[in-house]
Amino acid sequence: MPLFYKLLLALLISAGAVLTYDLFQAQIEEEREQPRLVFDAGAGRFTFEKPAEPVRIIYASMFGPGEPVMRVRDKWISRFEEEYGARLAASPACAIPAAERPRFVADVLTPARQALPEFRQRLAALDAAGAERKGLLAQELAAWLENRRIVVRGTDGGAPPQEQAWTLHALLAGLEKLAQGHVPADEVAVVPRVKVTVERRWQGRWVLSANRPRFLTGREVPDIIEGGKTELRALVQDDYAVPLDVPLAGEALSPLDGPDTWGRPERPWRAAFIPSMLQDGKYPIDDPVRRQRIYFAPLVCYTYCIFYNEVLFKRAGIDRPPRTWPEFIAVCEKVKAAGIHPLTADMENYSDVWMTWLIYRALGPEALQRTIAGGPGRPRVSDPPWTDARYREVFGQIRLLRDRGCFDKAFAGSAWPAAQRAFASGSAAMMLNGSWLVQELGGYEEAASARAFKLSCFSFPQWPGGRPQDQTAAVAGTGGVMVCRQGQATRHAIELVKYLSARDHPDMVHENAQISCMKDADFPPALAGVADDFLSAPIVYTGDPRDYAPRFCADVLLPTYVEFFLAESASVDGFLGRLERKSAAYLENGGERGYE
Amino acid sequence: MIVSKPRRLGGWWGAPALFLAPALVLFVVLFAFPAASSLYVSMCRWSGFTPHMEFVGLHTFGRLAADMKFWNALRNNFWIMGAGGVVFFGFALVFAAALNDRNLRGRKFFQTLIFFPSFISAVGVATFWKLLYDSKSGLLNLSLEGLGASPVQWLASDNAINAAVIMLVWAEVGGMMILLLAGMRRIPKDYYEAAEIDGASGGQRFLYVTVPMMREVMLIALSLWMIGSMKVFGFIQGLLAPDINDNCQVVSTLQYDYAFNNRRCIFLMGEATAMAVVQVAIVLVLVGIVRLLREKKSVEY
Repeated sequence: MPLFYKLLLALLISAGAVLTYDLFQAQIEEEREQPRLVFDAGAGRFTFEKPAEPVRIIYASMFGPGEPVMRVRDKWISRFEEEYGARLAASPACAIPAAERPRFVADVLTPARQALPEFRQRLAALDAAGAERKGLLAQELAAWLENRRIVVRGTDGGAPPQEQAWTLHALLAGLEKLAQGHVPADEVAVVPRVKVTVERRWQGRWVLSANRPRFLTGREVPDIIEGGKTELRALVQDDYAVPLDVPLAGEALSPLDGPDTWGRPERPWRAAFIPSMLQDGKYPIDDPVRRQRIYFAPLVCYTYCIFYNEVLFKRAGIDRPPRTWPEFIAVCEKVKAAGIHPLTADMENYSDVWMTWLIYRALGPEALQRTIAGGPGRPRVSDPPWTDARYREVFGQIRLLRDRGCFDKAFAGSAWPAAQRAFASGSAAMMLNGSWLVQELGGYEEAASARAFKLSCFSFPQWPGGRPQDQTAAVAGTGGVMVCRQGQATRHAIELVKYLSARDHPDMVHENAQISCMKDADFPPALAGVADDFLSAPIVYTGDPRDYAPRFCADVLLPTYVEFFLAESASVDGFLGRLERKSAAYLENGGERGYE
Repeated sequence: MIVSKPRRLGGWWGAPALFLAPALVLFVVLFAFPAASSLYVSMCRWSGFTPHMEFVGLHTFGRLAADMKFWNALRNNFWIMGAGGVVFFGFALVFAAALNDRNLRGRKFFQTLIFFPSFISAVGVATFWKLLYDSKSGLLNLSLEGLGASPVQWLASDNAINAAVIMLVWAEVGGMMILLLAGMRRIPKDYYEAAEIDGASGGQRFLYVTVPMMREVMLIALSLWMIGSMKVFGFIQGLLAPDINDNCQVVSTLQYDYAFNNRRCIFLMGEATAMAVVQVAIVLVLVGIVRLLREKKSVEY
């Protein structure tokens, strides 16, 4: 046969073998989970071990394999599997209940009866064997019994052969009594066993799309999906999420009003969350049913702040970070005068944060919402309009940053993550980013000590003349989980979420610099620069325009703004005029509903 | 004696139908049905998460027609096809002609060198070029600065598509060169010898012998380039993602954005599928035009 055909044949055989293994994999797995009769030679008692009841939870996450957050979560999920399995099986051994007896007889007792004659013969052969073969024969006999689902404790290789033989004799005597009905079945104990498995799907930021076919077919739908609240909103819209403040069928309390099982069981789970963070889990779009429901359990939150390199600040003679916007501009000038780039960025990445934060500080988030979605009673009119003097001032300041050359020259052509690399290499003094930057630059500080880099951060500067409550407010976005309606293990899934909310935040905070949404959690030491402001903030603005106007943001606001932000020269009035026109058309068309 | 003709299985069409059935079933299941379904989806409002689709007819196409992002993306595809095509074919032809010269030393080496990028995956190529293009620490700008020239914002929204064209040409020219080279080697030597006897220079031989004789191969290559440049995805996504500026989208990346991008928080399966339908229609028209050109005149060796 020519070599080619030989190779082809080998390939086909291999493919066949893989396919056969795959097809029978489930059966092989099942084989390992057969009921067993366990004999404790010491106590002379039998135990009926049923196959472990399987509890399978599917957990799909926005974190990809290898991400620091994933590693922490994975560790705690593994612990949950053990602890929850033990908790579910916590009831003590008891006599086989009447309902289980037919199964005991069919699965265990009958095969044991059938095995008795051969067992006697083999044991006789063992007794007759010389001392040198006894140990080996005892082990073979134990293995033979195990294949018949009879396990005897005390026949492991470590015990002396004579002792193993006695144990086997004790087993034979016990089995004979059991088979003849001298040991009633209710003297056989049954040990409940539960095997909890959490199937992890580390699918990265595209977790929703990755699971879309499963939602469509209703098969293997994740019980839990982890992601950002704004992104997971799509699931609520299509009625795939379980409201956490409504009792599940057959239960008196909602999950949130039930006990904080894994934390402090004396209080409701709801009390474990920072209230404003939990409220952020409400469905944001005006909808008579879903609007008032909490669908999202927030676990961590993110805030945006301005990160700075302490070494470069010192070099520029700046001894403390700025508190107000004019101070911030002055700091930029001072850094620039010292020959250092004040700010770095990757094109438009996070550029919208300058806009949102400044508007929140100068006008407040409600004003932005009224401008985008229309004023009270006048849903088709922006109030205030984009051409309002305060917007002009805000965007004028953003333009000022560009016009005065506060960003490094290369920012308009750099692609993520070049800016943070440059920042960590000491080529710019500041960078606006999310609190996750600490984690992304993890280990960089130590490695980069020679390059003069010491990471610190400060809160977004206050806006003189703005409302006082907007100056002390914090802005946060939340990340957490939704429990899916189509999942097969909803109750167990909620237990997992409760477990994570109670257990994994110390690691999240200290190892990953994540801000926890739980009341009892510490604040990440790596974000000390914003800790006081964040923790003392009387209001935390958790919303984002994308929550209530996703299409407007995607089609109008962000593209128009990015064009303005990146342009080498642009007029504020021209930009606001354009935005006003597009915004008016959007509202005239019925806002978000106009896209339907 | 009357001898009856042996009857064909199941009448005159039975046997062919039997033999054709497996292929036909596969064609219907794997191509015709999905294609028809796509056409249906393109006329529906659908997030892609629920089985429920709302049929809206040509409304999705109307939305697409009014969507500037789509027109920008289409323009970028045509730019890659046109401007990129000129550079691409230019290089491929020059390389092929050079390597067709049997007197060239190190022919195999150059051929491997030029073809080498074709071995690399789109993501690998894109990552490599992303690092080269980086305006802060990329090799290209460092070299330009070293030469005293001012740096270029390669990946800025105005330049990104041109930067992508350069990358595409680098990555794909090897494959095209091999195709053209194979075409050139099929041309009988007699023509060149006759032309040489007639006093034609090297350039003239290339222009008046090679190019006309390569017409068929070049039209096939042109079809391949058109299809490729209309469908280009991995290279652009790799170079410009995660947040591709609206000015730098091509149809496939925009399609992906509309259908799958969680970060936009909008899932427009209908519009995305409508884009795919338009894309296929454009490819069909263009390939149809090329076919017409091919049928007009055929070359015989």
